[in-house]
Amino acid sequence: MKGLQEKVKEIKSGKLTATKNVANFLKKIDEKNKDLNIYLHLNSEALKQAEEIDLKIKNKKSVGKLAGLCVAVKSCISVKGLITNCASKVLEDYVSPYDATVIKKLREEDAIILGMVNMDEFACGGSGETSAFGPTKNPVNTQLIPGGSSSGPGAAVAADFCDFSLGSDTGGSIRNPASHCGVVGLKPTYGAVSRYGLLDLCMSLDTIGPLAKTVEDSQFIFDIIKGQDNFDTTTKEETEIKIKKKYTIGLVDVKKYAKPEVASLIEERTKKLAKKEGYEIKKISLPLDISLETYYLLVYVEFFSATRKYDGRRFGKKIEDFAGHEVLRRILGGSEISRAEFKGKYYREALKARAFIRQQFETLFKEVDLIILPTVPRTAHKIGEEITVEEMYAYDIFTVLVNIAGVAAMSVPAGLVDKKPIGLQIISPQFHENWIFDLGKKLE
Amino acid sequence: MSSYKWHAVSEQEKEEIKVNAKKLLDEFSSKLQKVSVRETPKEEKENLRLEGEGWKPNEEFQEFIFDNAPLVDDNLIIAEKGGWKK
Repeated sequence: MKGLQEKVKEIKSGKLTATKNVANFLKKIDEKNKDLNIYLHLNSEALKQAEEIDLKIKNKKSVGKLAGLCVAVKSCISVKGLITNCASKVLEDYVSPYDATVIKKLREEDAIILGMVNMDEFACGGSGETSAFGPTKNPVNTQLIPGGSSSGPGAAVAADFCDFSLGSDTGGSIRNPASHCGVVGLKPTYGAVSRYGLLDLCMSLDTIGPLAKTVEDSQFIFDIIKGQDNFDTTTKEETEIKIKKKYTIGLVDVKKYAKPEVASLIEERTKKLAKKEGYEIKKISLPLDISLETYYLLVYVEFFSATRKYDGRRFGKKIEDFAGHEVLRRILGGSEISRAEFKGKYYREALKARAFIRQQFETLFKEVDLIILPTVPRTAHKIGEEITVEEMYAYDIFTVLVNIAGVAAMSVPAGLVDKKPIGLQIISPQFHENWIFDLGKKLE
Repeated sequence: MSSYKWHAVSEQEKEEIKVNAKKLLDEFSSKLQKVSVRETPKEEKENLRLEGEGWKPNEEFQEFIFDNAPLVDDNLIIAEKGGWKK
């Protein structure tokens, strides 16, 4: 498979033009987007921007590291001049007045924003079905959900509708669709990538990260978007961490929570890799029994707080009047438990559990270098299939702890179960993404 | 049990959602009561941030903001309740 760096070389050498690259994607989008429902809005300036890059190359002027590459952006990341509606009727016509820091960084390297892609409404969902503009279909099997909430970014890479995409991950929203669509999805360390310009779901857990076809491509994009940003005070520069020759891997026991075939596939792949590379494997356990409870209490309260700006007075419409059922569940539930009379009961309990989970990870990372477990506990369901709230939330059981602990993780395609893609999740300590990339490349 | 696909929500359904959400969150909260932890605040002493310049508004930004607003009077946004209905 041709990597992104190789494609940039071709564009810079004139073997391929940026214009041709954009035109190729637009042709595919024109043919198949109506069915897959991935792009919500295309950037009408994309071809013009590509021509400008080609002209710079022709005139032997310097161009960026991403010259001519096309990116699909989740519709909750601000792109100046484009509709950024979070797949909601609440912000249906909202045009972003500025670029998110990640977009600014991509533009500075001459990437081309191809358009804004579908997602679960306000990132509330794990299947891609809660979009007010209809669900995105999984390009691997169009009857299935692509996963969420970054349904569009996952599907766009799988359908070859872009070179790479940007998504956001609050509890698994990059890794989950990466797993279901058979692509690579990185959730960086909290603070590694600026969230400035992200329409937040839960500000203490949100991260922005890339989805791509390979681990190498994912690393390439991460290296460009990471770094301290003065508009996001949680960010800081990463210190260089050297990769290791031998890793100790913590393999999580997930039999109680995962479909047996999923658990077996991940265990087999891990053991095979460890044998080949001479890694030590230690069986470990994570506090999975309180993961969803902690996560959703935090999310309900912080999401309720975040949505108070959607009152329809300065932009958009009032969220309580136009949002779908999952968004309303979180607002109405969050409103209830944020009441003064419940002080100390819900959010405080969740903060206490978060401290406990963080301590568990700190202890574990003294014993092992990296942790491996499945990305999702089961295979994707069919779009429109009846499912309970608890079943939907259970998709997140293996991913939410990573956000709660603020560490990094990546989903890498591991194989098929019932002909459906399943991802293997690698977790590292904070700011150790290069260990994840190193291991991920060996797994591909 | 129902499909997770987006649909417009009626006032009656909103009430049901509210009651069920509270029930679910009560279950979650009661499960977390068993968690015992000693919280130790950490102070970052290394890799401290060097703050740069702040945000500077520009006219183009103002144009976008006014275009998104439901009601604008000269150089002001009229932030009325239900403004988007007009």
